[in-house]
Amino acid sequence: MELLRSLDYRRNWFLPLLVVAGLVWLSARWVDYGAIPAVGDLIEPFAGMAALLSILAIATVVAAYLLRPVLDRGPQAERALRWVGYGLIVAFFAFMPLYVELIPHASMLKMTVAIQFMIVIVGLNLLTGFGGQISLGQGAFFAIGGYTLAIGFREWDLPWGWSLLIAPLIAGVLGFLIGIPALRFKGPYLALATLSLAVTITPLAKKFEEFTGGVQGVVMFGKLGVPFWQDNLDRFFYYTTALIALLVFILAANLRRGRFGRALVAIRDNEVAASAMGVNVALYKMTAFGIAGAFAGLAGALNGVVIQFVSPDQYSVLLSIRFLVGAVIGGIATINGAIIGGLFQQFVPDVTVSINKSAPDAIQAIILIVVMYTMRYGVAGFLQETWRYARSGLRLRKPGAGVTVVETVVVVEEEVVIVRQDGGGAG
Amino acid sequence: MTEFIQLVLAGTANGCIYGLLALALVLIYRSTHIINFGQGEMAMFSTYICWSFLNAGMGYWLAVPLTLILAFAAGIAVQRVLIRPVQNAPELTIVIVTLGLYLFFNSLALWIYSGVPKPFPLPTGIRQASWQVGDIFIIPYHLFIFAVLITLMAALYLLFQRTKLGLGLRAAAAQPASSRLVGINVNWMLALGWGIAAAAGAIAGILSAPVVQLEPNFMATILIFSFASATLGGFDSPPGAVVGGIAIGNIVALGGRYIEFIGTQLDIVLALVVIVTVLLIRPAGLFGRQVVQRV
Repeated sequence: MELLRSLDYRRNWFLPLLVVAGLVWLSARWVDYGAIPAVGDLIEPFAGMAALLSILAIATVVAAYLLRPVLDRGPQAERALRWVGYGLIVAFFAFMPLYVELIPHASMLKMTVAIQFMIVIVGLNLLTGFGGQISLGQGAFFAIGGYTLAIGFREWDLPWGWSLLIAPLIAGVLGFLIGIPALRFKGPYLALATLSLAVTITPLAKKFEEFTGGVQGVVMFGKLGVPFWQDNLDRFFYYTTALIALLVFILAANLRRGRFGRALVAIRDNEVAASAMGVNVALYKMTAFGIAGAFAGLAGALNGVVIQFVSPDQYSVLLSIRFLVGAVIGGIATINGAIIGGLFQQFVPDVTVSINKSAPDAIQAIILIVVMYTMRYGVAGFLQETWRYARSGLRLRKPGAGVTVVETVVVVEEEVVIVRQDGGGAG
Repeated sequence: MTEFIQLVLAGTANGCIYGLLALALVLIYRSTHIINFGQGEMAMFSTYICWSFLNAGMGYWLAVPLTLILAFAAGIAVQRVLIRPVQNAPELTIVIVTLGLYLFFNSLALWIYSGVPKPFPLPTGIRQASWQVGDIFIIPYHLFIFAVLITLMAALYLLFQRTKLGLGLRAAAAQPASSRLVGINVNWMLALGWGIAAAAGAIAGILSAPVVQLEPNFMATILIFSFASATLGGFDSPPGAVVGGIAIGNIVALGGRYIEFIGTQLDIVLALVVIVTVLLIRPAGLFGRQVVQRV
């Protein structure tokens, strides 16, 4: 009963809706929509995702309930639990080869690409989520990373390990420089300017045929040597990518927590006030562009290594849009959201492509719009909120934990501020 | 010289199409400060609807008005259903919702009509062969595009400046709060604005379909050129959008021919250069009003 009450669905109205959708999905297993099979097919991905999301949310609530004795001990315990949570996520990815075959649609290669998406998205989260700078051009940096690898391989026979170091440098410097004109743009104009950047990259790559191999691209099949696990390249590239991603996430989380992150959020929320407080607005914005560019470039180079092939048509505008969609669905003003965003971008298209070749984008578009209406801070934001509601719902019934409550509220409040101010700035 | 004039003629005709789509963008931006990234794809989808009518044996001059009415209704519906709930949300939210429109219509067209290009006929009554004046060939269809643009501009001018509805539309765009106080249904005015924009976009799509082939991505490049046009003309000036469109059409046609590096592949780079240059030098565009904000 207490558990049920902790759901607090007056405030958390979206959860029951998800559960209903999940039941619809389950019903599709038994009820025959045979008369209108297309409708059944179409309902399935949405309902399936709702089911997945409601499972996550209910697990969050149950965890808040079960862990209550630990959590009530104070903020240190809560922080420790958070580390346990991170540990579980890392472990999930670390032991991937053991159970990757059990996950439907998954393979080592697909997981590798999903992690590469996460690297791009975490950069986008810093830039757009915390920095407030909309970028539709991350695909361009991704392409720059890919071509750094390809050109290095073609022209100088550069080992790909070096390309992984050089690509983020080049993409980062370019991002930093593109930050200069971006200083003059705001909101939709910035989206527009960065979009045209994304549009330009494909024809540019086709134009400089002598370096990029033109439309045919650069083929590197079997020519990228690895030091060990030669007989299991998928595994080698998976762990390389995952290790790099771990470093990127740690870096991003530290940037977010430190001076840089605070300055970025201050700029997003009120540029004038931030500069009055002595924040160097231009420098921070450009650095944010640089960092997001570097992450995207790194992921692009990694992607080239894994796919072993780089061609202009891989980097269409849609790629840039997909990065932003992934970031938004995962949760744009969060770091953890990137994990969800990356998995979403890899697996939702993969699952839905069986309906129709163009179904993935249509379904993503609908999910995107629905997410914008129901969970403005994405899946990660939704789960955070659910956790908070569950915690506060449980706490109300526990007057004994007075001091603890106050301290916990402070911790929680910090996140509330992040989330709310993002939404509050409507003009 | 002959070649130059020829290029200008073709560039102007293309520019009219960019101008029309830019007009659609500007109509929406002016009233709601939203840049609709889905505008081009909505136009593309309308063009496919028109193609379906034509394919079913309907006459050109019946199919087109019917399509425009549908596009108008769809524009209103999109505003009422999708945009209104996020009208006051942060810019990022609105940009993402319009991007959702882009993705949705693009993939829906690919889904329904497949990616195979479809031939789109010239309007009945417009002859294919060109007239020769001295050394210069004049393509009748180019003149037709130009005439449509002029007619549409005149009609919009009359609507906005000479009718009560137009007054309401302008008032709702300029001063929503005050308009509400004098009894204008602002929400409906904004929806009508979206409807008009969708219809204008549909005209742009239908006009350009016979020139470039009709396929799901055919408006994507045109959209970028229209963005450049609207930026050049000023995002809050309808005449500016059209002038900007014609300017962009010529820049692309001439730049592609006379700048060795650009050629036919990199014309999109010209659009990027124009966008960035204008935003850096004169962000309000040629005809736009510089917005001064008190902080």
